[in-house]
Amino acid sequence: MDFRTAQRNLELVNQNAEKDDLDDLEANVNTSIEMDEEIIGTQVPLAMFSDDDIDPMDSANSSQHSQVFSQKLASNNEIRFDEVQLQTTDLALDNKNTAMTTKIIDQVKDNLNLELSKGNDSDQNSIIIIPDGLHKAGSDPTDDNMDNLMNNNMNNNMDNNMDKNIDSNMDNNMDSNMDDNMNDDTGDNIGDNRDEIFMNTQIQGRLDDFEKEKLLKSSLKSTLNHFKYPRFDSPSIGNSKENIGELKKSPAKSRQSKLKLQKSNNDKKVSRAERVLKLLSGKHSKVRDIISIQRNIEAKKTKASKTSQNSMKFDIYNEQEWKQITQLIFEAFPKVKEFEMKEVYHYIYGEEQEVASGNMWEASQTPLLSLHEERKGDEYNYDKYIHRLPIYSQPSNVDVVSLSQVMNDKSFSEFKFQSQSDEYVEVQDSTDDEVFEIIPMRSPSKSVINEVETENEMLKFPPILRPPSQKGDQPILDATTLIPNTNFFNGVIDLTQESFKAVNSLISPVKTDYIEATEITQVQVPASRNITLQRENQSNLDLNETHYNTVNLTQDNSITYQFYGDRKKVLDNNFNIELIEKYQIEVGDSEDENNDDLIEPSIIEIKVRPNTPTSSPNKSVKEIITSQSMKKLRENMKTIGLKPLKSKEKMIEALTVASQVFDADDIGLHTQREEVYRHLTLLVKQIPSLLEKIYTFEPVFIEDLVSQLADSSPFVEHIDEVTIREWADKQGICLRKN
Amino acid sequence: MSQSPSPSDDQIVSSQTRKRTYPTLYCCYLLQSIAKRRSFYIGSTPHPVRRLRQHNGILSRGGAYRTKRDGTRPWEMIVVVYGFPNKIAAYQYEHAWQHAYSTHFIAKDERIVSNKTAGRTLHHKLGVIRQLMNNEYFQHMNLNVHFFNSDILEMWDANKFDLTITDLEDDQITLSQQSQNIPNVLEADDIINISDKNLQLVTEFYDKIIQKEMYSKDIYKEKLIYGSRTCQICSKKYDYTSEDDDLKPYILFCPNKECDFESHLSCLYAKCMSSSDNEARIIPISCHCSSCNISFNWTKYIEIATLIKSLDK
Repeated sequence: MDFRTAQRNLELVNQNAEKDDLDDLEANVNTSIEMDEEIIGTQVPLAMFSDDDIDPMDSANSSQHSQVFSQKLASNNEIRFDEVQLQTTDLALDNKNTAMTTKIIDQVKDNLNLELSKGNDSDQNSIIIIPDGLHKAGSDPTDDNMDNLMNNNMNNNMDNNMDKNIDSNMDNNMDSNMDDNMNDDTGDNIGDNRDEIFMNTQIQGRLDDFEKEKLLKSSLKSTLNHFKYPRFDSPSIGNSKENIGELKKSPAKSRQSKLKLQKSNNDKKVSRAERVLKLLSGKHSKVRDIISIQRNIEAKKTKASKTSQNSMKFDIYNEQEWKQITQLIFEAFPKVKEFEMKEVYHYIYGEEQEVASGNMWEASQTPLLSLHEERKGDEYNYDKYIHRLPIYSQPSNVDVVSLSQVMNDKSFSEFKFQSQSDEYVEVQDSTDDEVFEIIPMRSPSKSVINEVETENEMLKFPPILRPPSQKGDQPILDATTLIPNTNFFNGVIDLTQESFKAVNSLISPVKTDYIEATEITQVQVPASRNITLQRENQSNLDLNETHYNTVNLTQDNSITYQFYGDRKKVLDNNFNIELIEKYQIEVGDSEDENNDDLIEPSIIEIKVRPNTPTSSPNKSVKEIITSQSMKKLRENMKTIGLKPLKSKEKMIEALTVASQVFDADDIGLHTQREEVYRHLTLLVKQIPSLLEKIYTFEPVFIEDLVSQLADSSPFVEHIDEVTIREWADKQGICLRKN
Repeated sequence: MSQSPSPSDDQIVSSQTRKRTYPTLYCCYLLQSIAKRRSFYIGSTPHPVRRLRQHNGILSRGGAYRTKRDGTRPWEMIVVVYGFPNKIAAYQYEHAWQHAYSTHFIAKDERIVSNKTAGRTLHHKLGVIRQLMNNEYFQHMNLNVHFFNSDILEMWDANKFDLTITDLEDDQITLSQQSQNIPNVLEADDIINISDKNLQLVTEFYDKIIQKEMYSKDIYKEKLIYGSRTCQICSKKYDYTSEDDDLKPYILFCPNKECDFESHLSCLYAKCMSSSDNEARIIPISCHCSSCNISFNWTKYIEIATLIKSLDK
């Protein structure tokens, strides 16, 4: 090797050694270690590279690889601190020694041969060359010799490669002045190798110094660690005892402190949280496991966060910077105009929000504006927004009817049929977002009804129940009489004023008392198939061509009932029909009822019988139902097969609806279920599409089925799914789920 | 499921292009291991031959994992229940058969299989067939049972649990023409022979059904290819050669080959439901042909109607 290069090497090494600062030392150690690593890197990977058939002459590759390898080494060992690095290099040195010698010896032989054969023209020759002396020495090994040989070998290699590596380093980090010089030197490398020994020892000496420093550092570290305060989440809790032990105080104090420390020691072992959890749960091992897992996770997190912090550093904007940014944004983008904002606001929140004052209650009571009205108002918006609005399946002039209207008002049907007849009208749920105006009530007229009833389309609609009008003193079926005492036309239902009642009272029309008294208040009558009510005086039984039978009752007041009916049956039963109530008991004991022996309270059954004074009970259906206990109601519901409900009101509601639907014929206990089935069968037969699916054995989605049936008869919603499935099984309907 | 719009005329419902529901053959089968006579397997398939081969490992694709167990292969298909109108019904039957101890199709007090581990004998398996066929849901479908082995049929006839099937007709229980007797001591050759024979029988069975359908298809095609035809009940026309779906509702021809009757399915349905007191029923049990007056099962008409419907694809 050229003297110049050797000197340069020495200078570099000395430079590294001159700095006494620990940090610098660390840095230098780092660099030296890096160099070492690179050297190691070159040594080992060359062996590796031979396996990979990388051209050893390709020094560029090797240097790169060496760097890569060193980096890998670095990363693999999680270099965060110098001692770790030191350790790894030590380890690496130790571990690789044995492997390296054999490999290197072989490798070097090969390389030597190669180089000799190929000549010395290549730049930056990274071939490992062992001088003859060493080679000979390598053949008769002793332990000491081996070590020396190792070192020497290493040194040789390092030496040979050092300048290469230094060069590469220099190329990377320093001036590239050396290149020219280096190029000149390559030719001399081989020849001068035999003279390297004395150079090696110098370098070796330097390396030894470094290693001593490393050792010192590590020992210092370990001693420092002893004085470290133990922390709860630190993994080195095992050392805590030692640490605490080393703290030596005065005996009295130490005892106290020992106690404290023991306590705290215990705490360290079992943290407060742990203790509490243990106490609470009682499962010590489980708690321990949980907490240890948690600790590990946190430790990992902290590790990860630390590494991430090390790897990535990012900054957040401070206030001033944000202000600047916002300014820039405002300049860049045009401002939104007021009215556009308002439009968006209205679209989201609706217009009435502005109208309503801060009074939340009123705001909730005001009906929502109908969408189509909005649309009409604003053509511009129509085009813009309409496609975004939900599909509005309803024709715009179909209106929602309240229950009371349905119950009380004849005009409802009239109103309905004045609207388009082709489309299928749905009664909207009040929970829908879209809003419809409530139909204003109108006074009924007989003639209208009769006309209306001849419509075939009545077939499609469920039986509309109309109880008779009020007593004589009250006007005939006026909306205002039957609706709650609120200002209905505002559409505001003010529950604070009065309780909301669909109708004022529900009394059975069936009672002969009433009939005799010719004073009939409200009536609740099931929409049975047969005519349910007929007065003695009343003989006009309007049997229309349709399935609907209506009865006009009373002299003054008119009661109309619309229901599905079998005309044939009705006719068979003759005109003079009088309604009788017959109740049946569901469950044996009647102790709860007002003991009317003639009454067997239960679900309504209405039997039509000619002109006999009945011993009908005094109670109305509803009263009977309401008077039954929860238990009985539940049982009733179960026998019929209705959905189980929790609140009594709901159960009563369900049962009353059921009663409206049931036939007037003999209803035994066992047949009530069958009544439900029959009802369902009838419903299906009225929906041709569904019917076809069924008789062609096409599987029907159960949700579809239920929804279609419910559309035609809301009673279906009360029926339990199990009942529906049973009915489907009986009928041979194949059901499937979504 | 698409709904057809509410029709102006009740009788003719414009049926959308629906997938054919009534499959040619969908069956539930019972396998018995030839070597291990106490091992059974219940499954369902539209193609019993293919399925059997999958079970026996002749065809590699197709799962059949549970029948891969050592010592059980090869399997013999001993009973087949067929005639299901759709896949769902077959699945339900299969599930009920496999879980006879808890299915809702068999009433609790009538169960012959009491729990999971019980009911492993062939008698039980056959008994469950009876029970399920007796159930009102499956009764609508007019299922048939076919045996491939006369020994098994004997056991069926023995009816160990004394179960009766209501309205069971003779032609519902069938047996392959050549069934085989399985000797008590089996050797390797025997096993293979039995397996092959069984496969052969199953193939015969399947082919027969397919051929029948092919034959019917051809006949109907011939009839329909003429174009517009009229319903003999309502006198309205339909045309299966047209592109318009409205002109292609469900129609049927009389199953009787000598009878020329044809009509809308809906017309026949209406007629059927009006004449007898089928008020409580949606699906009728059987129906008389208007012209030849022979009564056929409703399912038969549906088979025909769905077959015709599938022709226009």
